Amino acid sequence: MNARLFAIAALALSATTAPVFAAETNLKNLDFDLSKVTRENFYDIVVPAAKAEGTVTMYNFAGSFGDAWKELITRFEAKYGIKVEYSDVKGAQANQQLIAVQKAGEDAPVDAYFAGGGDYPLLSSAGVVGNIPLTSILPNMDHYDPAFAQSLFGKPHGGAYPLVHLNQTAIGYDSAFVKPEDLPKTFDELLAWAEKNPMRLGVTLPSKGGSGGGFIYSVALNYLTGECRTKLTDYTLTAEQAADWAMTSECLEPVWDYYRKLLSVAELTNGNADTLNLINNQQLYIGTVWEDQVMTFIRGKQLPDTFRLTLLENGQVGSGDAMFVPANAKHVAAAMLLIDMAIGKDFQAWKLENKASRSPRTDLTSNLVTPETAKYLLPSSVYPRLSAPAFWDMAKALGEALDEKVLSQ
Amino acid sequence: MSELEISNITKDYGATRALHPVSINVERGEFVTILGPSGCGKSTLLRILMGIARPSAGEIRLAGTRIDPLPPETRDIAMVFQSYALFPHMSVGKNLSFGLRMKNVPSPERARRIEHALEICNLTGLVERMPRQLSGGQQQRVALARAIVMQPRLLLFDEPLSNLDAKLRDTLRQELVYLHRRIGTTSIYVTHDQAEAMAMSDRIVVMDGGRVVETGTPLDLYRAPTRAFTAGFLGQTNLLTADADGTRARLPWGQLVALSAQAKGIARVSVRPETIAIRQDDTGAGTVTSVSFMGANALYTVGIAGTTLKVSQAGGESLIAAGSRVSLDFNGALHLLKDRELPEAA
Amino acid sequence: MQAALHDRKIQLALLLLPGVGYLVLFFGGPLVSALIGSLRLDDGSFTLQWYERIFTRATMLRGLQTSIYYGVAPVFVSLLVSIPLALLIRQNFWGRKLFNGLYKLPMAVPGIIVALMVIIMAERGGFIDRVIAPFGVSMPKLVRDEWGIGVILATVWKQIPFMTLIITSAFAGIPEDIRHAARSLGASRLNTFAFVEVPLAMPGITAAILLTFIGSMGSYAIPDIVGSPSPRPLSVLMLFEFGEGRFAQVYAMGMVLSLFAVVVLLAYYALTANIGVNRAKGDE
Repeated sequence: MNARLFAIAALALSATTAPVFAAETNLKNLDFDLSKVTRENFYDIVVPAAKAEGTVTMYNFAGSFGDAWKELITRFEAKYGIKVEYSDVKGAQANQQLIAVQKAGEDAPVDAYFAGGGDYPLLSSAGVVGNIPLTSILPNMDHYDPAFAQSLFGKPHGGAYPLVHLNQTAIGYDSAFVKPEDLPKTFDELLAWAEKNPMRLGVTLPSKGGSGGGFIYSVALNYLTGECRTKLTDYTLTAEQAADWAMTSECLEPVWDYYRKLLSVAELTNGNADTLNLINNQQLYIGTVWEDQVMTFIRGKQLPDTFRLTLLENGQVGSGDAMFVPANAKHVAAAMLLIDMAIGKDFQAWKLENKASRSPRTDLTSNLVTPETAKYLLPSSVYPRLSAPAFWDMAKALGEALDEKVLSQ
Repeated sequence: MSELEISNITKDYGATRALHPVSINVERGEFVTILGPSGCGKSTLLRILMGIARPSAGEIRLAGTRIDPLPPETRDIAMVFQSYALFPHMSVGKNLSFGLRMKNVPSPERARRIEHALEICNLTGLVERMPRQLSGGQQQRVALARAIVMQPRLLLFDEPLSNLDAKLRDTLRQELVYLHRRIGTTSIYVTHDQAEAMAMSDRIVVMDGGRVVETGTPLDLYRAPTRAFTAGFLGQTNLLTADADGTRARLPWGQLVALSAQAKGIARVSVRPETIAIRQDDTGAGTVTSVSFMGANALYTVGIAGTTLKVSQAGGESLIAAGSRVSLDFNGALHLLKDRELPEAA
Repeated sequence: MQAALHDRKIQLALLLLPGVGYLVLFFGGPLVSALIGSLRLDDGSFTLQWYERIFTRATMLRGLQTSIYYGVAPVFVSLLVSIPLALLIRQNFWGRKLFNGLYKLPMAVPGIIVALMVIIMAERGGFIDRVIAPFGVSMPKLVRDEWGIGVILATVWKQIPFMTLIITSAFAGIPEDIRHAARSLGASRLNTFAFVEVPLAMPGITAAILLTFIGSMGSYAIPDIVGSPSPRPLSVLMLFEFGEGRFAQVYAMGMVLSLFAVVVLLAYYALTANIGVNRAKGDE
C-alpha cells in the first residue's frame, strides 16, 4: 500500500520536473516534436498527433461568440474527427483559474482558450501562455496582419497570442432620429450634439463595458498631445503604473473636463448591452458600442434596422481577441489544429458576414460581405482608417480614475 | 331594571348553535356565577359580554344602555382571564396603568387608583416587577388588580383560578369574595368548579348544552334543584324514580316516602346522601357494598332493589361493615325534580 | 485517576468537535484566511494599503454609503408593506388561501431574474412604458436613477415575502387573550396594535429587519443591473475588483462589509436585550 503511494508520488514528481523542452518551450505536455514543425510540414506532423490526442478542450470568454464557435466546431469535428469539449467561461475567472493551475504545476483544464486581447499582459506575466510561434507555423496564418503577428498592443508575444477576431468600438446611432447632417464627426461635435439633445446620448461606464473603456481611451487619444500623449501610448507601462499615472497626472484634465460636460447631458449606462437596449427602447439615439455586438443585436431583432455605425475623427479604439494554447495544455496538437481552422479564410469570412467580426487576415475585405450585412458594418469611409490600437490596461486605469475624479465628486 | 340584562342571546357557528336563546338578569353589585361543564356555552356567553364575539341574535343592556353592538373598549367591562393575559413587556405598574391611560384618566388619579388596587390585591412592592418574575398567584392578582383599577360597571372572570394549585386556589377564592364585598362591583364569574361556584356566588346560573338549566342561590340550587342536571352537578346526589300519588310516593323497593310537592304517577326525585340515615338491620332491604371513612363522615354505597345509593353518615360511633344488611330512613320530604327523564349516568 | 482525567479530556474534545470543528472549518477558517489575504501584498509582506484604498478613495467610500443605503432603504419600505400584509393574512377574506400561497412566490425568484425583469418591464421605453404610452403617460426613471428607486423597489419586491412570513409568525405568537385584554381595558384596535402587538412582535420584526438588511446590503445582481453606474455599492465594486484579479482588495472589502454586518448584529442584540430591561423600569 505504502509502496504504491510512494510510486505514485514519485511519478507525479517526475512528471512535474520532466519537460524536456524546458529550455526553448514552456509547454508541459508535448507529445510531438514542436521544434521541427514548419508551415510546410504542419499538417504532416500535427494532424496525426492531434488525432492521437483525440479530443481538445476549448474555452470561450465572449458570450456573444457561442454560435460562431459552434459553427467552427462542427466544421472541425467533421474534418478531423477530433472531439471538441466546449465551455463558455467568464474571462476574469478563467484567467485566475489558469494562473492558479500554472502556479500549482497542474495540467490546464483547457487546450485552446479564446481570451480577451487585453488579457495578454496578465496571462503572459503568470506564464500561462504556451510559447508556440503560431503565427509563423500555422499554414492559415500565411496572410496574417504583420501588425499583430509578433506583438499585441505593444507587448511582444512571439506569435503565441494571435488575434483571431478583431472588433471595433464605435459610435452607434438610430438613423431614424439622427439625420445625416447632424451626425457628429468629432468628439467636440458629439458633445455639442449631446448638449442639444440632452439624455439622448448613452455612454457605457468604462468599468462595466469595453465600449465605454474604448471610448474613454479614444477621448484621451483625441485631446492629449505632446508628452502626455506619449505617456498615454507607452505600452511598456504596467497596469499599476498606468493606474498611478491616470490617478495623479495633470495631463488628463482635458479628459475629465470632457466627461464632466458630457455626463451632465448624457446617460451613463451599466454596460454595452444596457446602452444598446436603451437605443432599442428609443430612449437613446446615440451610444458607445461594439461593432460586432451590434450585429448580434441586429440579428436578434434587439435593435431597429435603422441602426447605423460610425467612427469619430482622430480615431476610436479597435481591439481583438486571441486564441492561444496554455503552457500546461494536455492536447497541444489538437489545439493548434483548431486555431489553424479558426483563422482559415472560410471561417473568417463566415464570421465577418454573420458576426461582424473583423479579421486579422490581410486578404479579407468588407466587399466580401453581402449588402444586407454591409449596411450594419462600419462604412469603409471610416474603417479601418479611424481604427486606433487599444491599450486596455491604460483604458482600465482611465476608467477607474474617471470614477474617482469625476463620478464620485 | 336590572344592572345587566341578557335577553334572548343566541350564537350560531355555521349550522351549529352554540347558544340557544339565553336570558339572564344580574342585579347591581351581585356576584353571579355561570356554572357548567366545558362546551356548555358559558365561555361563548362571556366572549359576547366582553365584545370579542358578536351574538347572532338578542340584546344585552348594561345599566340600561344597549351594549351588544359596541366594541369591547367602550363597554365599561373589565375581564380577568384564565391565562391572566398580562402584558409580558410591561411591569406590574404599567400593566395597571395601561387601561387608565387608554381611558385618559389624569395622572394623579391614575396613581391613586393604582396604589389602591395594589393594596387591596396584596401587591404592594411588586410594582416594578415584570410578569415573568411573578408566581402564578401573584400574576393572577395583578390581572385582578388590572381589572378593578378600571372601576368597571361589570367585572368578568373567566375561570381565573383554574391554573393555580389547590391550596392557592382556596386562598385566592376567599380573597376574591372579600374583595367583592369591599368594592361591590357587579361580577360574572364563569367556572366549571361547583365548589367554587357555591362558595363565592350570590347566585348561580347553571348552563348545559348552550342553554340555561336553572338559576338560583347556591343554597336553593343545592337543596332544591328542579333539574337532575343541577342536582348532579352541584354536589353528590341520588336520582331515583318513585310511584307518586299526591305528596306520597313509593320507592322501587316498596318503601313509602314523603314528596316535596304534589305528583301523580312516575316521579323523579333527588336525594342528597347526607339526608339519608343508614342503620344496620338484618331484615333491611339494602346491602352495604362499600365503605369509605372520610374522618368527619363515612360514605357508604348501598345496593337496593337493583340500584346503588350513596349515603353519607356523619358522627357515627362505629362503621357498618361492607356486606351488612341495612335499612334506610329518609329525613323529611324527597325533592321532586321537573325532568321528564333521568340522565343515564346519574 | 490520571488516565481517567485524560480520557475525559479526550472525550470532551471529541464531543465538542462537531460543533466547534464545523465553526472553525466553515466559518472561522474562511474568515481568517480572508483577513490574512486582505493584509498581504503579492510578495506576502504585510500591508494596510487595501484598507487604505477603501477609506481614502471616493469611489469606495461612496460605495460603502451606497451599500448601507441599499441595505437600509428597502428594509423600511418592506416593513411598511409587510406589517399590514401580515395583519391582512391573519384576517379571513375571500381567496385568502390562494393569496397566502402566491405572495411567497418572489422568494423563489433569484435576484438576477428580478433585475432582468425590471430592465425588461420597467425600463423607460420598456414593456410597461409601451403599454401605457397610448394613454399619454410614461414611466418615471426607475433604472439607473440617482436615488436607486428601482433597486429599492426590486429588492423590496423580493424581500417582502420573507419579511412578511417572519412578521406573520411573530404576530401569530401573541396569545389571543392578550389582545382581548387590551381591548377590554379600553384600547382601540389601533392602540392595541401599537402598544401591545407591535412591542410583543418586536423580536420577530427586528430579526426580519436584520436578516433582510444583511441580505440586501450584500446583494449584487439587482444594484449591478438596475442601479446607477455611479455610485455603485461595495458588493458590485467587489465583483469588479474580483474581475481585475485584485483578490486582496476583494478580501479587504469583504472584511469591511462583514464587520459592518457584525456591528449591526451586535447592535441588534443590545437593542433586543434592552427591550426587556427598559420596560422593567416602569414609572408607576
